[in-house]
Amino acid sequence: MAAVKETIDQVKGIDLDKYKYGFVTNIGSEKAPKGLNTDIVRYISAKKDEPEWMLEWRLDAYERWLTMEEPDWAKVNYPKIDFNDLYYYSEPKSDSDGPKSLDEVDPELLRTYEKLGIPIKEQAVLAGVQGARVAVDLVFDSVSVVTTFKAELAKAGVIFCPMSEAVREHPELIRKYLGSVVPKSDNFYAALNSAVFSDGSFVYIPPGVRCPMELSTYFRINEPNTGQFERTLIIADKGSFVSYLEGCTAPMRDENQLHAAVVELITHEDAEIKYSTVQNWYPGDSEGKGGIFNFVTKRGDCRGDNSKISWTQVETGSAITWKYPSCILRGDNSRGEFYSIAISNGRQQIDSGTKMIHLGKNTSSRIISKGISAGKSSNTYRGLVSAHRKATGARNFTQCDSLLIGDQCSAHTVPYIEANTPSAQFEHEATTSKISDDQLFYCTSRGLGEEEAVALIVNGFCKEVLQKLPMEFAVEAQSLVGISLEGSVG
Amino acid sequence: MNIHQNIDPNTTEAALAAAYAARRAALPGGVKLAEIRDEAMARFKTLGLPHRRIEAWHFTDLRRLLAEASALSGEAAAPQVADTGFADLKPARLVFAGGAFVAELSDIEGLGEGVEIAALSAGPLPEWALAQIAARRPAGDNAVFDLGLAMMSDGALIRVAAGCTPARPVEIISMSSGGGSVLRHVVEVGDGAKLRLAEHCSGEGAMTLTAMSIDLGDGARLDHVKVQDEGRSTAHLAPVVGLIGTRAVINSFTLTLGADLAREERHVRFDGDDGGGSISGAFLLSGKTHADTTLFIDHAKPGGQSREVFKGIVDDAARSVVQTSVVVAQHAQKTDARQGIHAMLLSDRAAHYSKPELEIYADDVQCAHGATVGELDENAMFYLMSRGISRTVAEAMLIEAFVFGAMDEIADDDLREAISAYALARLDQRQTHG
Amino acid sequence: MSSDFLNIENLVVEVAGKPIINGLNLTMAPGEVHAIMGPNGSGKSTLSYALAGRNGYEVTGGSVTFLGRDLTQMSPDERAAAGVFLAFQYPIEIPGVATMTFLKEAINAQRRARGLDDLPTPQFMRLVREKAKALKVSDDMLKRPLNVGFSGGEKKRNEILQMALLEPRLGVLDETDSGLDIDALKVVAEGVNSLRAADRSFLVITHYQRLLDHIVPDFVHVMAGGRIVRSGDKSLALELEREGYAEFETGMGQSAA
Repeated sequence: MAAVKETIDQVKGIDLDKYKYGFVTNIGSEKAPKGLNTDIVRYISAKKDEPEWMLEWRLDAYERWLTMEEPDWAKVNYPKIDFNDLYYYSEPKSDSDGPKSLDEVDPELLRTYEKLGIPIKEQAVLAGVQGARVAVDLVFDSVSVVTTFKAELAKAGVIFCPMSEAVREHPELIRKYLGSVVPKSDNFYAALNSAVFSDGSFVYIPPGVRCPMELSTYFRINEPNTGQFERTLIIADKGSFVSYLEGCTAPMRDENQLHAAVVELITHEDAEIKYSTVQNWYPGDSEGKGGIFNFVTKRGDCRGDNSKISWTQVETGSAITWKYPSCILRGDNSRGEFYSIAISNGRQQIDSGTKMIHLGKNTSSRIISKGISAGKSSNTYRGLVSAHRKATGARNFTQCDSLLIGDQCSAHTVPYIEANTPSAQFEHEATTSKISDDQLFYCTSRGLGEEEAVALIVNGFCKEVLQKLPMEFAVEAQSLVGISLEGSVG
Repeated sequence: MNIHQNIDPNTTEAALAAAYAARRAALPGGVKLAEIRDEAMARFKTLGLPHRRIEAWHFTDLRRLLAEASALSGEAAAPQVADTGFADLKPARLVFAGGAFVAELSDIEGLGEGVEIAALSAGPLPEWALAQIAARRPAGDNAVFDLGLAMMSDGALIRVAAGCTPARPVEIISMSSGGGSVLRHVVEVGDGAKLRLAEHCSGEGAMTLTAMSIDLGDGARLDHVKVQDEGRSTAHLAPVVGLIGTRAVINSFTLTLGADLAREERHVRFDGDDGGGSISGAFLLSGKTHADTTLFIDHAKPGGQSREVFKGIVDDAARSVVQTSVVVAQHAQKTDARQGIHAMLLSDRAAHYSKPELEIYADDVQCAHGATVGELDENAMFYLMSRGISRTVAEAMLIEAFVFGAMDEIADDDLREAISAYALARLDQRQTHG
Repeated sequence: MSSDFLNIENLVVEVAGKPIINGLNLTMAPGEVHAIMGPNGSGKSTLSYALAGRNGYEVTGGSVTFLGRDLTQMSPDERAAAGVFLAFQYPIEIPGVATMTFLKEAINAQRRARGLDDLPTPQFMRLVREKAKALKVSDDMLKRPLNVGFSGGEKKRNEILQMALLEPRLGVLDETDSGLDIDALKVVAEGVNSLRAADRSFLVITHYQRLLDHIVPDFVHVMAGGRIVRSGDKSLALELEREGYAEFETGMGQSAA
């Protein structure tokens, strides 16, 4: 993705306090009043022109959320969030009916995406990308702004549209699948999201279709004091395949911003979803001021036999990351994968990992997690591998490595391993180490600067995961690794 | 979150509180200890029995598992010392039956200079023991430890003065019966001193709670092995707190065989530079046994080396839980900690849960853990059988090879041999009955 | 033709529901050495596992009679006691089980099955040392856990050592030459040749002819598509060496020559 290349060029050379995406876009916005109550839920639903059943669903989620407690088991510390001091809905004002084509999009918004390095104009995409084409859905604060390549995707029968549109246009699919992987009351943040989600992406791949291009969503939080609650739902019907990319940025603000997304993936028989994320929300400054609170529930359901879900994530942003992309391996012979690079610097706190729930027969899963902590950050891998009593022949391999840079940071590994059938074979390995002085010396003696050397070594440490990213993302991710660690040595 | 404060005490909690009220006046230890007991009981009442929403008890919901236990009631049966497997070592012996020291069965003479050994109930509590009881406790809330602190009716007091080594190993034999027992052992090994300590727990009691605190001085060494071979109906709870000095070494190994419910807890703090050792164990579980081993290893100072290795088999409807948490403090550079948790499941109903946890705040460390769970290797079985070895024998060979890997963690040759022989005898029984 | 030594008739073996051996016929008399050659995937190793009784190699048709007994109804250890020995292509590593313990257990298990007493330890030790020496199996190897950390050649020599100690009636050698250099190959072949006897037969499975320069077979069979498609004397092996297996790789349905 040329966009990515541009992004890299743009962000090269910045340090932690100069987060490149930290600009604010000055466009008018229409906001719901601060706070959360049933009126706000109704307001959001009405804004989206939703049918009654969707409103009922939201209200039910809201009622459940009221009875729930914020989880406190993760290894993250943050001041108590006042959920009534947030805006739950913000929409760029310029075109309240929603843009019908790119020409109707506020040019200011387009300039924002140019700054972000995302060429949303299809021509730009075509011009910029050699060979590969990427359909992009842009979510700006609470609203999906534009989806590219729609027509071409429609030819293949692929539905790729904003969630709000899917609720109106494809109610049968939404009613069938929404909340079927992450139930409304799954956890505190999922319940909150279910009540107030504003937009997000919806993908449906029909049986036997290999999605003709990568699908991608860019998320951007712009407005202050605004929570972003997007909802993504991807369904891969029998024998289909899709690769989906997700990127996120936000402006630099002194206060914390809340992001509580839900992503649900469903694969039917013989289908495969490959979901890649480069999460680069504003992490706060080096003293821990500001930054995004990222509380995300991502879960995939391998519903059909021989289906596969693969999560790849590069987590470099956010002040707080609370995120466990998981796989429910329900179908026989289904497979789940989790490849993760989590880099924390400054005062960032990451508590992330995965769950592999083996239910079907002969299911397999693989977890490769690389955690890098620098600065005064805290980086936790938390994972669960479990085999149900009937999950005969379940297999898991987990490799979980932590790298510490400096003596002010910390790295933690908290794996839960639960075998309820003797034929399960689980293997878990974890190591913690630092970059050795010898490695650094070797690299610097060959002329590399210390930070370059660190970036090189860390990239080597992460190689297994970087290789799993789609090509277009891999380059961006590699430079992000270096950028995220700037200021961590010396 | 203090959810537990909002629930009514269950039958067992109420019974335990009532038992304390009834026995309080008769419990040994004098006024100061009585204060400690009262405070501990107050904490226990507030906390209640731990349940699965408390992280350290995630896999062992004690509140539920003990819901109906008639804890600590009933009569003690007449004691009879069984073969504990340590006789060849000619150890000094402290025998406890039903929570009380049995002098006639004990033998605590002839340990040589600098060795103090006594029963907690034997007379006024020595200052050193009181000080240790008052000061040593696991970090954070620990209802089970508090319960032990409140209700201990006896225990072993063992103190080895600086530079001394007892002439023979010391064995603590606990035989539980009737309602069970609550013991507290207090062990102090002075600077440069050495102690070999064997523990054997047997009998049938509703609940046996055996807590222990261990202080190792600078350069001290403790070789500790424990065999938990209690009866099926028993709930065995054993929290141990260890404070390890500079260059001191603790080697502690637990062989878990019995009890329907077992919880071995080890809180070990390496409190001086270059402390080290192994906190390890093996388990052979069958029946309905739920056996939980939970470790909190705290490398607080630089240069520490520790190993936590657990291996075992789980048969029938048994469940094994092994949680090993290793914390390396910010300044504890050059720490080297290795954990391994390996379980073999032998039945469709068997289950194994493990959580090897690392919490690292120092960068120049080498920490690693590995965990595996699986069944008997069919390829290895075929290979052995293709040479004419029967299925039963092949199984036994593979099980023995697997489990006995853990015995290498026992540094002391005599203790390793005793434990290995004990485990082997148990495996042979399995083969005969199996 | 049939024999009361080994008689395989119309054997069908399935692996994971797929037939790999499709109606194989083979008869062996005592004292004979038969070589089975064939392209990769022709079912050679499957035949060896089926004879030794490995789980997952299901006999769904035909019969295997060995010394008058139905081999297919016997467990692997019973087959071993009856005198079947498989030298594995990939010997299994078993950590924690000492090689000596294993050898002793195996010898005594078979002795017991034949109504003999256990071999006293000193005699056992002498026996192992003597046989090990001939096969250049070092004391150090015998002290290590079974096959753990053994090189490819050491593993194969250990297989032949076991065969020498267990004195089977039928030795099945599954690609024993694979991964061996010429010197190791000679040691192994000499070991096998020294075991040749009037009442002992060998089934030598190999892809290449070179092993048969050292262990000279009485009969050579070509296996393809799960059957024996051609049989001859040792000159057939040389012919295959010259001309390769191309003729057979498509010749799945050909009848035996």
